[in-house]
Amino acid sequence: MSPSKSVSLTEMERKEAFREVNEKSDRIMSYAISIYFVFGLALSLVYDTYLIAVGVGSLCLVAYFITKTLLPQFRLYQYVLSGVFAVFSAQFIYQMHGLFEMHFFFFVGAALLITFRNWKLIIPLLLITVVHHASFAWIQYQGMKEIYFTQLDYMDIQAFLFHAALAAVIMGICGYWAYDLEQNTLSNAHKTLQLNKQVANVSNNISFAEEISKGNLDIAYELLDKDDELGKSLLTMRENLKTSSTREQQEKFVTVGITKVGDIIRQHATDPYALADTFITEVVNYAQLNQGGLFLLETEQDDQVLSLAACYAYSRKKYLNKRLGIGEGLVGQCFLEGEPIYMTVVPQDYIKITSGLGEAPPRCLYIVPVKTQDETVGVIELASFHELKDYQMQFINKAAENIASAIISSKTTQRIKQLLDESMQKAEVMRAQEEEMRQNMEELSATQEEMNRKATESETRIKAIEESGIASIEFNLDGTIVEANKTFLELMGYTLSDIQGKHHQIFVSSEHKNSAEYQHFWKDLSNGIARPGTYERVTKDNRKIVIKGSYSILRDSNRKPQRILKLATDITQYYKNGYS
Amino acid sequence: MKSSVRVILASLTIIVFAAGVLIIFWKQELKYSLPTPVPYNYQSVAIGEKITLPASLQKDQAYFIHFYSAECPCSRFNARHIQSLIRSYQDSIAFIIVVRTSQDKTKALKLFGSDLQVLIDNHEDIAKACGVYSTPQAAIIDKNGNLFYRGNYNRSRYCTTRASNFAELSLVALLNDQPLPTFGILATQSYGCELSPAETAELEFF
Repeated sequence: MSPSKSVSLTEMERKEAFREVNEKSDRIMSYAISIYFVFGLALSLVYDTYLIAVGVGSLCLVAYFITKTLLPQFRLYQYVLSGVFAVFSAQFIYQMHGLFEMHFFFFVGAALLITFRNWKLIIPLLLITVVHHASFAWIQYQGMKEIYFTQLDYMDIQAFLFHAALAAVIMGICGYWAYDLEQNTLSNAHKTLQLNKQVANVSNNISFAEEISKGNLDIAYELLDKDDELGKSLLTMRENLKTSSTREQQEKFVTVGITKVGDIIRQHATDPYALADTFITEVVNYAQLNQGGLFLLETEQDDQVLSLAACYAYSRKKYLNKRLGIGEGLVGQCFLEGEPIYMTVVPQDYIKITSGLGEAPPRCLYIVPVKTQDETVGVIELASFHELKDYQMQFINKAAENIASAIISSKTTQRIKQLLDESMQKAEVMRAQEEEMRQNMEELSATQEEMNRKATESETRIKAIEESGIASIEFNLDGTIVEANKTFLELMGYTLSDIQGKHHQIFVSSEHKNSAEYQHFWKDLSNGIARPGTYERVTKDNRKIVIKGSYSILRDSNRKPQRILKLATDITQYYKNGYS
Repeated sequence: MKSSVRVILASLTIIVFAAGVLIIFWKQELKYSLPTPVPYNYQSVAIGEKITLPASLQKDQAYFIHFYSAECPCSRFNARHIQSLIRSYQDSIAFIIVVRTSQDKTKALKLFGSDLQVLIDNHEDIAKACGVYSTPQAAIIDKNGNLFYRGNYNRSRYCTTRASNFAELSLVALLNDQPLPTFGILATQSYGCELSPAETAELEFF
């Protein structure tokens, strides 16, 4: 038997536990009390005690049923029943004129009451029995000595003590059994409750686990019992699954987003402006933001500024040419620091998200530098009505990195292309020049050939002249001797080295050398006027000779006089012979 | 019906019914455990005193007079004892049943035997003569018309204590010409129902 301390039931649970016992007991008691009544009527036949049998019996019967009907939920009627049993016992004793065996009805009543499993029910029975006997004893001792209390001769004090002791033992045993059964009932009820609770827990847990297995992680679940370890484990499992599912979703969010950004970068690899525009639209839409702008670094006359390259729902769209200096405003500051700025308290007039219906300041602002590990090329400014989650920021940061590399590579590509164009242009020019040169060379070579040919011809001619015995000498325009042929040297009696660098005047007489005619003669020649004629010249050995020839002018390509060539023939003999 | 009303009704029922039960028991039994109140104008009649019996009764004849009332539970209690006395001693002594009413006479005849002499003691003349004021009571009158014994049949209402069959013992003594045994107050103190209920002094008990 478990001690009552460990069994703690609420009043409702207690009632429920005893409901079946009480229903069964009530049924039995209805029969029992009716039988008592009928038995009383039967006894009345013996000594004509109808008045008592009907009067007391029906009063007892009616009292029991009225109490039971009026207060079925209370135990009062059971106590009334206990009293009724005592009264019936007294009635039977009376009806049988104190027949000793009728006293056993007290014990019958006590035994019957056990069925209610409430030891306290013995009390009214015991109380009335004691009062009954005590009143008799009182009357006996009060009135007359030793009469009427008992009809037995041998009822002395010893017998009375046995009588009382046995009655006490029987009542005690009945009370104890009632108590024991009561505790058993409570203990069983407690066990049943525990079992029901556990069954409820298990079925609750099963349905919960089924929902989890279906992937329904957000289903409401409450622990029915704080000691339900399985339930706790399921909850922990659900939380873990939820966490990993959320993490998975967030990772998927980032991955899918980055893939989309990658697609955009690939599609618009050649067009930086379309890239920026599509990119910012995608980032804002995908991360479910409300506004966004992409500033890119541009160099303007040695000055670096951040220029708004693309925007989405940006109230500054009209300032599309907006330019910010490095370190200017939050955007500039973000660029300078190279670290994202996240603000949940946005200054009232900083930015507004507008729609057709109105405008409102955003809840939060996220400014991210567009940078790779070693280079920052711009800043993304994003605004939203709801606060950003970590995974959204992660996506934005990665997207910013990707767009940064895309922009850098796009710029590099552009630069390479530009360089390629330039070098191609140069190569073309060089090719053209080369062609020209080749033509020139060809021409040159042709000229050279021509020249060679002419030189050869000229040489041949000169040789012919030399071979012909015509003396030739070349002068500079000032009359300095440059060259002379063998014929001339032989005619004049000089060696070439004798005359080279000397003036023509060595070949003329000293009178003539100073004459105006000679001066005029060289003036004409230096002016490019040829002077053919017959001239008298003086040889080395101071002999006079007459030569007939021409002082011709050698000109350059520009018809400018360069040298003077004199071709002459010695006609001294001929002259001496009479011809002058 | 409100539960408080039900509680009150149930309590009232229990109290009223318990009171009813007590009253019935009191009326039917308990009050008979006490000595019957002595009427205020009672004149005691001593043993050996000359008793004036009704003229209809024969002189020189011993009588066993049984005072009976059908309404009195105590009279019913000891009816068997009376029957056995009649069976045993009707040859030796004349049994007379004294009742108050004619209905009682019919019942007495039916109960104790139709051949018995039953007198209706309208004015309690016989009772007064014998000094009897309750039922059941026995009065034994010897041949000389003197009161030999007046008192209870037994210390037990049910006449179950053989040793205290006072009336029978007295009768046996009379028949054997012996003196009346000494019984004490248990025999002579009257118990049972009053002969004249109207004069009851129940309140005195309380």
